[in-house]
Amino acid sequence: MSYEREHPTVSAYLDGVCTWVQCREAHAEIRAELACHIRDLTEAALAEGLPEAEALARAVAAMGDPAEVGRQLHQAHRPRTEWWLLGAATAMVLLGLWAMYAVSATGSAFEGGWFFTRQALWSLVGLAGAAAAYYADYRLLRRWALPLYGLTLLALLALTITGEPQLGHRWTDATPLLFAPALAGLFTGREWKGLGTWALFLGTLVAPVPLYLAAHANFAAGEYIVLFGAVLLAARPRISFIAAFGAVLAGTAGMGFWHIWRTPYLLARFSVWLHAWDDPQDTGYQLVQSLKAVRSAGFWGKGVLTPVNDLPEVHAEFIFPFLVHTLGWVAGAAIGALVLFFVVRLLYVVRRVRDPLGTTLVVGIAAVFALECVYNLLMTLGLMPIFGVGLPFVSYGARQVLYMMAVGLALSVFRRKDLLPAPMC
Amino acid sequence: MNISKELLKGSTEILILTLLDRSPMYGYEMIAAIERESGGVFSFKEGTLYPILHTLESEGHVESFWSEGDGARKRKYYRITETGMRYLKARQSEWACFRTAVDRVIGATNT
Repeated sequence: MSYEREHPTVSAYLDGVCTWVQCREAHAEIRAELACHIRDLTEAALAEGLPEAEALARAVAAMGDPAEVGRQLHQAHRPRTEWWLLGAATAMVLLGLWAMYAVSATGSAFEGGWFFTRQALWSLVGLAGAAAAYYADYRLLRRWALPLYGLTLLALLALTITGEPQLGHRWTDATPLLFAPALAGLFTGREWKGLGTWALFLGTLVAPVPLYLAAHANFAAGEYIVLFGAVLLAARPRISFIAAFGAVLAGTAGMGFWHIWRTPYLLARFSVWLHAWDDPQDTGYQLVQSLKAVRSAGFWGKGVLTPVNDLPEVHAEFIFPFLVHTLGWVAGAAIGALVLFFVVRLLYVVRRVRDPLGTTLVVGIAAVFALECVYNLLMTLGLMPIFGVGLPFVSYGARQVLYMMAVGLALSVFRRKDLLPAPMC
Repeated sequence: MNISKELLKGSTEILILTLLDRSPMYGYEMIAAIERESGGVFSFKEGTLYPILHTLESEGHVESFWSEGDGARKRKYYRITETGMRYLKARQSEWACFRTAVDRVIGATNT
């Protein structure tokens, strides 16, 4: 920059270039890079014995028309849209709306009637939220990560104390996704040393888990740990922190198994999973009905608006077997493919984004979606024990708003990928 | 001989990526290398290299980093990525195919 200030001709040239580059944030780096080049050219000319003024003039002239350079550079620094991610998410939202319509219209859900309208309402609110997240500058997280984390933790505490009903849709289960941006903000741009960092690391690792367990939100507890691990690894801390996480994970896994062993209803979930057909009317009911629905579907389903009266929670956790039963195995495979494509596309965004905060943030979001999507599909097919996990976007729930905002956030990160300067190291 | 702009446009990317495949470089280095290795046939308007580099980076074929090199002042270096290497291979085969086809049609026999 000081080279620029010493040489007004260079500064003028750079001004000429940058006028055409709409993305102001890219200016500083562009100026530094071009000034460097001009300097190299000048030095080469000086080495040939030219007087300084002439050397400089020749160098600047050799750079070419500033307007042309500027216009072309502008093309390289524009906002980008990840259309495939947007498309996949939209498809899933629409699928969810269809599913709610089908569930309501066939009277399959015991509550009948308003699933579709409510889901449509949540989707509209979600759309507004997603748009807000899209245009917001995600880098605000750098400053607000700690307050955001604290707020989410307080909310979780409040929920645990006031106690949500055990069944049905609980905000407690939605909180892991809320922790994702806060964790991403806390773990990036940080020197991984010192007592403060260790305190932060241990505090964020340990604090929410007892609350989840106290609220009997066991899947959420596991989800939080997976999220924590994913964001931690993406933030590339010193190896000691990764080792510490590994140790805590091993310890918690041990304690987890002991906890499951000692808690009858949790142990029951595993034994039911393995021996559902032993008790199909009672404990095995959910899994057996889910499997029956899927197995009896046939390639093309029983018919688009067939009532499915035996599937419990058909609008929520078991929406996928419902869809497979009515639309067929082929459709089921297509839905599975769509869901996987969505997750893969999130990972693609991670690869293409250079900003560390952006990458970590999308890794966190991807981890939550991947876990929930894959687990829901596997459990309805009998490949994992049943927990209260819905299929994102497709299952009923006000959580729709959060899912859509998360996608908005991921798209926002991708949007800015070429508008930010490279890390100066 | 002055090569027409159109012909140059199509091949600049492949030239840059080939250089970066050998080692990371900064802009000035790249231009000097291209001029040298092409025997002076390719000479660029220096500034127009950068939009190409920035676009390649936007597409994920290269990545940039600031570095002091051999104790010199800080410069912005570029290195090729894995995606970039795959892209380069594809463009190289495309070029080989193109070159052979053109030679066949214009009947070049003395090269």
